[in-house]
Amino acid sequence: MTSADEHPYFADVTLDAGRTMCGDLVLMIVQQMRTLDSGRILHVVGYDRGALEDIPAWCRMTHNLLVHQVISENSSEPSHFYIQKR
Amino acid sequence: MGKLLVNLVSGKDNIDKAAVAFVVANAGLAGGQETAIFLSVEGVLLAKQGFADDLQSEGFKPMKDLIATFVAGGGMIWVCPPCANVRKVTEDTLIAGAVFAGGAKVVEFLSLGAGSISY
Repeated sequence: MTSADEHPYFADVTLDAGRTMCGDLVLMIVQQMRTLDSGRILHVVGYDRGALEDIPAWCRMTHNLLVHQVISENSSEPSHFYIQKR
Repeated sequence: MGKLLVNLVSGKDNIDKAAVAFVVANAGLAGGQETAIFLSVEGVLLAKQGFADDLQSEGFKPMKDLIATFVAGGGMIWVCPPCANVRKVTEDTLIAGAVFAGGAKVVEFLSLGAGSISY
């Protein structure tokens, strides 16, 4: 796994989603994104393997930009998503 | 290419529904549709290795054959993460072709014009 720190993106806010899944996870992201100005970056950390599909899908639907992601090898390690608000 | 979403909430608790869902999904592939099956509730167990091996609904091919045909044809199997978590279906026990995907993935597929049918 690549280190989550090895990228050029600065996270304005980090959301520790823990093991939140599915619709609840997306709602958490929405609520956090509402606090950010356009262009800011939200860093989401979580263990949900469904997020590997759900977060990119949510970004495409909402036209927010998934600028970087670090996918863990399994659910015992968190994955990282960097989302730039449109 | 058109899109078809087959929503399946049953597994061993209603093998008839599970079989028909995969038959219809395979018909979707045969009809040139980009086809996904969303497994939730009891349906997630169908994505667990070995679970479907001895399941067959009368009048249908064995479940493992229906599933294998779907995967070999390029069908996508999306497994509801919280439903799987409750039923101890883990990533390392998923059958080939199945991935965890939740509400956002399903809604995106629908928003792109997928028709849907539920069992």
